[in-house]
Amino acid sequence: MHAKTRFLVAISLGTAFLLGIPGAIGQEVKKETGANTEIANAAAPASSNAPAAAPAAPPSPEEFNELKEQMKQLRALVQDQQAQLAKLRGPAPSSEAAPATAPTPVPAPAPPAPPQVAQDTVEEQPIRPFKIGGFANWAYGKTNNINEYDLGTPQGRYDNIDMGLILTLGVLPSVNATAQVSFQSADDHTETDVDFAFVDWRINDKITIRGGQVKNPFGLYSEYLGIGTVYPFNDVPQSIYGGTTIGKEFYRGVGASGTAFTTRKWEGTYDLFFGGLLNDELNPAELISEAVQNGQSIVTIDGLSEPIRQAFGGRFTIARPDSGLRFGINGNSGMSPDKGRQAAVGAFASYDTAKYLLRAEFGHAFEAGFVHFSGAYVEAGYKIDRHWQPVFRYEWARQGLVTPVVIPDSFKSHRDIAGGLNYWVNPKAVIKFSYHHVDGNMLSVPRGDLDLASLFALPKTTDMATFGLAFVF
Amino acid sequence: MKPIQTITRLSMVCAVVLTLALQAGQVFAQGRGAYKVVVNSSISIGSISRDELSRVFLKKASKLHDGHSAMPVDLPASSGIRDAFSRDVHGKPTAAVEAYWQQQVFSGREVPPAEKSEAAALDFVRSNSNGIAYVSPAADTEGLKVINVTD
Repeated sequence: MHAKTRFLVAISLGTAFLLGIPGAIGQEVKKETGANTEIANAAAPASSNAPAAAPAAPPSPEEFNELKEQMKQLRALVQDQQAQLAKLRGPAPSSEAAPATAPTPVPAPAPPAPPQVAQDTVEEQPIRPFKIGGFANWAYGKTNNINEYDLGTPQGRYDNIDMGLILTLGVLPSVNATAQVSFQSADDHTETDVDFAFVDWRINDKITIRGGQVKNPFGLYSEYLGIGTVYPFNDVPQSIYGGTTIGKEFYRGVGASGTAFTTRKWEGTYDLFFGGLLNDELNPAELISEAVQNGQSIVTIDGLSEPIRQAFGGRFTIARPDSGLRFGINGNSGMSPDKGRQAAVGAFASYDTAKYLLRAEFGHAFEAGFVHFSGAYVEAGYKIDRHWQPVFRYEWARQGLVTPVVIPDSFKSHRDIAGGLNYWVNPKAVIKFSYHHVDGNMLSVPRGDLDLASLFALPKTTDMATFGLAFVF
Repeated sequence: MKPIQTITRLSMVCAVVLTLALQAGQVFAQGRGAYKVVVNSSISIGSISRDELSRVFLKKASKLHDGHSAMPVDLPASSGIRDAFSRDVHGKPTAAVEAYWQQQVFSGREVPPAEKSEAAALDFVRSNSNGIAYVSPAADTEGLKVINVTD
């Protein structure tokens, strides 16, 4: 019984000693027996449930020898553990390596530990705060004849209103939710929409995954439609974003974006997606063709929306941020329910500084064997001072339609030469005036019912004046 | 007459060059040395390049080169210190940086760093182990680490 008790004491002692080693890094075993005695005393409370805590009778010589043997085994075990710890600690001086006569080196007290780097313990990740941003645009537009174009009507349109809120919320340190709700009014009708709603997961600086209804990464403006402080005129270039099916506003699906590479001055970024798109198309030539082939005398001219399924696309941009130079390519493709595969490709370049603005874009959209659009624009601006900015734009578009019907050429071409003057109240608010001279009826045409017999009598050129303001917050 | 005209023209050229040089000098002076970058004392780096600093404050990089997460904080857009920082680090004035953030916000990609007064920015960096900010050279940065900005 006594032998068993002492064995238990020895085990307790060894366990307590071993558990104590991590807290005593750098300390060596001192006087063997003394140290063991001290430890045994210290370990006693921990084993208070054991009968060993009770006073014991003096051991017999046999028991003494047995206990001695157990202590030897325990010492060997402890030394073995210490050797392993020393290996783990690296090249720390070992007491075994020291001369036998030299006193056991006692390390100097460790200096105060340097502050721990956060990732060594618990990484403190930033969580994007809840933030509400907003934008509002209002514009008046009037054309000089019966054609309507972009923001203008013959009577003058006052209700070009687009305002919205964008809400962003950090759900987790690397997961954010974004939604944009907008109120639009034009042509005597209003709409309230959830323009975008998506969740993004920033895996690292090189890749962010997005899912939901997401702004379409195409060209210079697809992601900023309605944000009037981003573009120099009251509306974006119509040759790319105005019904030619080249620039589409959003995709529904999943996508990835991020930084492809960075150098000292340059950076490359990418966007990829898969899902569905929506074509907003103004195509009077096609409507006229269909009306003629159906034997109608009246054609109804209006914009059409067409879903594009199983779409995929992307954009690759190279930029030199400090100089404001940026250029890239983009494209997307998907299935039109009626016309088969549809695709759009484009390239863009921009040079934006505090004073100068120079942007250009080219795009081409096609539905194999049926119709294609090509569009391009170049626009420039110069900030005379903090407030005044004259701007200029030239845009061009052309349409090809495979049809046996003879369509007037003016319905297949578009050209807009525009000049304007902007007054920037501050970087977040601007008042704009512009004057446009439009050649062609591809995008400048009366809306509603149109007598086919009057097609050739329509004015082929249209002038439009716009005045508007835009701000963001 | 001719020497006088020549001298007049030379004087005008010199005046223009001098004016431009002074303006350039002012821009330079407004940039370099017009701010200092501070980080929480738990951040181990002692210096940072302008490129990296720009990427951190434009939130293109979420970590410093030592792997430590970075939470930048901006001064208000009206701050002269911020304009000096923007010109020196981003290579553009604050207004252009604001335009960049408009695009980021409205494309749903990122939101700008929080804008705080200098005192609040210092408090933020003190209390946040990932905090990084720029402040005026005269700011009291006790308890913080001032890091060098390199080319």
